[in-house]
Amino acid sequence: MSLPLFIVLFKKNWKILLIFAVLNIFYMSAIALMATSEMMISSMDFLNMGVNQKLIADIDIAVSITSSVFQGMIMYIFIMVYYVIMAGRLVHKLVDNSSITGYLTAGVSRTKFIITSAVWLISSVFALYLIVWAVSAICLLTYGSFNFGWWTVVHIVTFLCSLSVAMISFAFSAVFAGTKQGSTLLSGIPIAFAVLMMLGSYIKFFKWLAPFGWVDSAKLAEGNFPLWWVYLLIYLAISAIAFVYTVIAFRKKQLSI
Amino acid sequence: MISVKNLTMKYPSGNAGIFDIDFVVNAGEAVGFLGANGAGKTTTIRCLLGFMKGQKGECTLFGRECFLHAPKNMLGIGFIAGEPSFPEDMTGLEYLNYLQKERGQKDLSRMNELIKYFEFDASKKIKKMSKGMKQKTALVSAFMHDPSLYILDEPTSGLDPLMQQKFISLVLEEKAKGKTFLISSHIFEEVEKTCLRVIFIKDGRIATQDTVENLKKSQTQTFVVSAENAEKINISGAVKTNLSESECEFSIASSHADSFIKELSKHTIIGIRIKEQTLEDAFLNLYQANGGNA
Repeated sequence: MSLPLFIVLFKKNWKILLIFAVLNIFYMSAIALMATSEMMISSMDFLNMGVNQKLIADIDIAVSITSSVFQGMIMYIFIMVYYVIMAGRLVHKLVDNSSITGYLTAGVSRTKFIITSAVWLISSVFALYLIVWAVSAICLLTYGSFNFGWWTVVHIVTFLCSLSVAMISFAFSAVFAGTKQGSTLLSGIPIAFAVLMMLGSYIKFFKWLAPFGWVDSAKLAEGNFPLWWVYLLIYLAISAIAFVYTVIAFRKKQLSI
Repeated sequence: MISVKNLTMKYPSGNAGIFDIDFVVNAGEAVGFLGANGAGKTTTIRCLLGFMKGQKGECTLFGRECFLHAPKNMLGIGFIAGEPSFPEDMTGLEYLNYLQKERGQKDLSRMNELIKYFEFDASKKIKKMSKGMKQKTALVSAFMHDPSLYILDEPTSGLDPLMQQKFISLVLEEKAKGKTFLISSHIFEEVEKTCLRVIFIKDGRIATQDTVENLKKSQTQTFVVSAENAEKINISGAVKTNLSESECEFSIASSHADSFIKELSKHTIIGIRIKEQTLEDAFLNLYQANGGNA
């Protein structure tokens, strides 16, 4: 890993991270604070987000709704958009416009370059989750005490789920960098996962084709998902395999820059 | 310093690429690398810098294989790309500072010297810079770490004549210190002033390589002859162009110069002058003789 390069990546991308952090804080706090309102639960039902229809002003239900929305919107939409943009900016765009030459001529090896970019991607997605976790926990605490441990587990598992898809997107960004298919694949695959997850509400099989659909975060928040650690390991394995493959493939890649 | 042996790099899309490229650049030498657009100059340079790996043959810099040892090689190279592209969100100075940190260079005096020399305003964002300003960024970044080898692709593209002159002076200064240069350029005057030897590449193959002097001599020589009834003079083996009633131009192969002059002496000659061949003439002759596009 190269520290000067990491600093450059931070300076280049912190504004995007900030925008997504603000967006997530706003959305998550609004959801957490509104989780018990009748209107909100009806809306959730309308959007087919799998929320329990019992309209009870109870902290457990609030946690359940917040975690459902968290998994449904925060992870699928906002954070996915963030890491798709980031995966493209970190490698594909740089190869496409040849500006990666400016880094490689400095003597940074391809391995260092790709590892540093991946570290930035992972740490920035982690930072987003950390912010979301802190904000939502503070908001939920206004209702009363809840199982903080399980709430944290939801975030850890969801973070790793996002990470596995982010690393797949990153792999496509690096392997297909500079090609016409590059941007389509790096954004298309995560979107396809999200679509499969949504279709999974109607045909269960689809749910199993996308990493997003493997864990029920509402059940997990309630502590009713005993196999969560298996999925945690699966997500970790996917991330690790995607990362190692990216490094190996990028090292061998012919760069027409 | 640079060694390329039977290097072949074909692009999957078609026939373009380089085929059996073979050349050596010794330490302390300045070599021009010339060819028409699409001849294979940039592809060769990409292989030298380790951005691409040839399917056949090998290339080495400082005795190290180019693709495998690219990061190590880069520290000893000053490189200017044909179309310089940088991380656009940075200012020129931020980029140069990044390079200096990444290269582990502690002394900034050379960098500041070059900024002053090229009258470069490094405080601007790169994306807002003109082509000439971006070229100055490339020049400072290539020379600031005092490398022993320079690979320069169109180094003065976008620079005004004054800056082009400054660049030539800088190259000559570095050359005097024993630095090695491989310069690809379409400005032949610049190559003639800085390089002793030239490699011509055509359709992905080395067409010829020789010293600038030999290349100029080995090409067609042109004599402008003034004589009474000049239009009536005909000499076998010479291509004649009548310029006026009393003046005509003869183009002959250099090897026929002796017989041409002997034949010419049989006529009453008022004056004769040799039209000086330039590297550009050599380039055009090479391309036009083989029906290529220059």
